[in-house]
Amino acid sequence: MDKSLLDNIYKSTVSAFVAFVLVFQAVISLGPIVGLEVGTKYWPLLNYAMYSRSFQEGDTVNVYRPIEIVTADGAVTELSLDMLDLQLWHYRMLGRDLEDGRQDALDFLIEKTATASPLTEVRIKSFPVVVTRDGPELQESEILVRIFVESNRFRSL
Amino acid sequence: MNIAKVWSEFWFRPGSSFDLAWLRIVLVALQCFVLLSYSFPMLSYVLALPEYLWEPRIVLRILHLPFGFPSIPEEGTVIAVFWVTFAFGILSFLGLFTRFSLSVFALGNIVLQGFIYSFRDQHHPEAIMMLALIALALSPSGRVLSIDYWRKQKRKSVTDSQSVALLDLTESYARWPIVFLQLFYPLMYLSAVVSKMTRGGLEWANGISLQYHMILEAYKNGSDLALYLSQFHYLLNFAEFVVLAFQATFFLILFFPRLKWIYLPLGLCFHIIIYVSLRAPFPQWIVLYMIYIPWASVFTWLAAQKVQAKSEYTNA
Repeated sequence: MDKSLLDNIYKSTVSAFVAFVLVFQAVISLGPIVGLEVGTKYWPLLNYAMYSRSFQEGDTVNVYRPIEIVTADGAVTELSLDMLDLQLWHYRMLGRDLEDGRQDALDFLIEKTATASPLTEVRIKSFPVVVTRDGPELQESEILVRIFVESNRFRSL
Repeated sequence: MNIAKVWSEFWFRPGSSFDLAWLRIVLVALQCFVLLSYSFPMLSYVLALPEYLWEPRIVLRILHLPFGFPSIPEEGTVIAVFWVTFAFGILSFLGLFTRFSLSVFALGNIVLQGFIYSFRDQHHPEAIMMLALIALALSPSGRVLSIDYWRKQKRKSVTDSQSVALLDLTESYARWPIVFLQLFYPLMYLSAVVSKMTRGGLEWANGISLQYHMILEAYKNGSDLALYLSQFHYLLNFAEFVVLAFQATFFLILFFPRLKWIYLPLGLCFHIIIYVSLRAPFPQWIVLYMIYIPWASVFTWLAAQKVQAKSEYTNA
């Protein structure tokens, strides 16, 4: 093939690539100014919003929200990340999914915990630390959400 | 002068072949290390996750388009893709069939990282590396410092006296990947500052926000240093203003290149402090700062200094 034709094809390909990536990334980066929040949907082109939320003194530090289970015999167990074989992000996600009533999340929880006595309740609690001007301060963990379970399914109240 | 000509002259002005090849070697080496140290354990982890978390990334859906909606692949398939990608990483590093090797390496990395991120969890460090690998694959990054170059020279029977000094070699298509990444970097920082300003405005710089993030990461990653630093309200308040100013004005180095001697050391400190205190690893971002350094000129200068020192020693 003619060298100048090959050169033109190459230049066009590269131009399309750089123009697309830079323009798309610019739209994602500056979009929030006009209310356009793309987030991470189009990875590897994404919004770099890490550490961008602002906080006030006294806010609970949401490292994760501990998940606690209660069985029919009255036993209460706080589930650690290791017990569920999950890393932190997926542990946090599991709590949210349970709050949203996702049966598949509950099935996973039941499968992983395999209690002798049937599961009757799942509790989502607050992380026991708040931020202050002097650093972290411990506080009592509170139950934020109570989810009742019957025959391994969410019980509607 | 028409726009096409201005565009072409901007992107396809000759650049240093050495700088591009050096970039290839460093980035591929880093990515091979990341594959072994981070990606492989992550692949084992995500393969054990419950199926309901599977939400394939758009990039995976596009790549999988001819075969329909992507389902979770078999473990054996994922592991095979991993090792093929790694093998082509080694070939890319050595510069053997460089363009083809880099194309497979870039594609493999996008597939693997896209797969890891298809379980509803997403982070920021890897994206720029993926784009850099695509740019390298599209460019003549194996022109020098590669087995391809060595074989070519051998075929031509080029003697030492005939060979062009590697550091002086320039090529039309060697500059654009570096310029592309130089332009991309400020967009990441602008995104970070715009996110802060649109979510909380200047309220973000109230001292507490960074204290919060320090405490969060301290508990998340077990960082004692982050826990210790989280007690210093005014120090962190000052750091917040520095971060905002840095991220909002980093793009100025495109217009005033001398500013890089301020911004690059500051940025390096910034990322290293984040790494050490928050234990949030962004090695790709740290290493990619190299795109702002004209390496061929640096090595030429170093060589000249060595020759000068040697001649001064001989004369003495």
